[in-house]
Amino acid sequence: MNGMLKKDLMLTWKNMKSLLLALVVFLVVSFSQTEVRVLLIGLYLCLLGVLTPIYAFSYDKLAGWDGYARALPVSRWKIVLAKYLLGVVFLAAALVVGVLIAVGSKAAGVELDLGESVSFLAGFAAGGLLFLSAQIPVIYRFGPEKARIFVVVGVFLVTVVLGALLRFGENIAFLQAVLHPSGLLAAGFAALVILISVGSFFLSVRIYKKRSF
Amino acid sequence: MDTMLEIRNLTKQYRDFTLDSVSFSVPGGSIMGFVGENGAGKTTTLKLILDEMPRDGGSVSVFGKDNIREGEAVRQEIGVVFDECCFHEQFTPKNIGSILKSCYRGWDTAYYRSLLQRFSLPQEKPVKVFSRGMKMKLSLAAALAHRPRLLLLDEATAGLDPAARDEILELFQEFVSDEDHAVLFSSHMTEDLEKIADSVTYLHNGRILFSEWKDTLIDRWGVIRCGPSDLGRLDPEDRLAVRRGTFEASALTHDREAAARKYRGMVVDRATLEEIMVLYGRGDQA
Repeated sequence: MNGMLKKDLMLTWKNMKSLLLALVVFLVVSFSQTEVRVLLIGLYLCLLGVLTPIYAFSYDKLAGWDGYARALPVSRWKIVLAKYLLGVVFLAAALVVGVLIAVGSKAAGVELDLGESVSFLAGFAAGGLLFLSAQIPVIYRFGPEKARIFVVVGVFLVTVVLGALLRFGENIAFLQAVLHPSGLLAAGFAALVILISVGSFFLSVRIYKKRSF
Repeated sequence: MDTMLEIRNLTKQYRDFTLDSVSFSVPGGSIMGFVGENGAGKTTTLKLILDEMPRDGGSVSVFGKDNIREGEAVRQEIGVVFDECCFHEQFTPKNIGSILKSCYRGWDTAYYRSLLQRFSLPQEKPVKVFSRGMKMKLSLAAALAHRPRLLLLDEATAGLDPAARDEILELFQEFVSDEDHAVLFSSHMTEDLEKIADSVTYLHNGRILFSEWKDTLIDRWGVIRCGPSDLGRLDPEDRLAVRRGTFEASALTHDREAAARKYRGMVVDRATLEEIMVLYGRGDQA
């Protein structure tokens, strides 16, 4: 599995160099801005975390790597796990960088509620993981090209939900609870996200094993 | 010689095609040419050996191990070259070596570098600037660097210039000089197979037509040349496959010398692999 993950990380690095460079410039420019700007950066980072495994699937398809990977001495489940781990690694990195930016911004005098920002950032990362958990089995089932329509639908739904929350959020007790979660609620959310991700992983392994390459 | 690969009654059913009870074996120290027209089932067979798709029946044993139950262990000792280079265009040979080193226990970095050097492949240039020949050589270097015992090649020399083909064929021959190594070489290039194959297995519409030592095919098999009206005089065993032209007909026999004695006045030539393939592939009903 190390080889699979290494391949995806190397590929991501080669393809994302310019994107990451742009991100760094964006970060530097936006550092001492408002809380919303800090959260937007976090959202952008999580989006990168979500798109990284999806891009990796497309590049694999383009190269004809899938059939070759099956000929390597790597278990099927490890090949699948590598894709999930790629998403987890990037989303975790997005969360860490996002929190560091929030802390740095606060230290630089930006008015923000650190607890609320961290909740938002963790929510973005968890949302990203849920999005991947929904997408990866679909990609294994239909291939990255056909699955693209599901990605578009998924992004649309997420946008609608986020838009609705932002529009009516002030009056929704649920959103308030999410923004300022109790320890129990946060743990419950985390457990639910992990459970769904694990379920998605097993579903993907099942689909992958049955697929012909 | 130990059997390196043994396939028994391998079956895979699709809606419009069936790979039907395919059986053959590849002994150590030999190269088997795996031939057949496009769509005959060669790639399906190779994919089933690699467990890249579920099979509907039969068994595949590699070095005496089941290819599914002991799949990882089996694939540790198999090198694969497909008809297209499967590496991402952004990667350099050095990147590819680094990735595959994490996959194969027996990966030999020094040997990989020596193969790259032998093929004059730059380590630091991305695959996207490589010609087809360079890509195939890179695939071959990657397939050999973990020191496999069995090489599975799917049209590995297609589209290469004669010099590059010769270089690669030479490497295959070196590879099987070890009795513990074997090659299954799917190819349409009959001249390549005549040069290096020890045995030939012919797949036609998902069925094995024959699996023979190449020398037996070349020495014993023959093509009877006669007038179209003379075909009826030939015994069924001398009409394995026939082709009728306006003025001449050809019939394939597996005993050239006996046919020459039997049918005086008819020309009986040695059969080349290409003729056998054409007669079976495009011939008329015998």
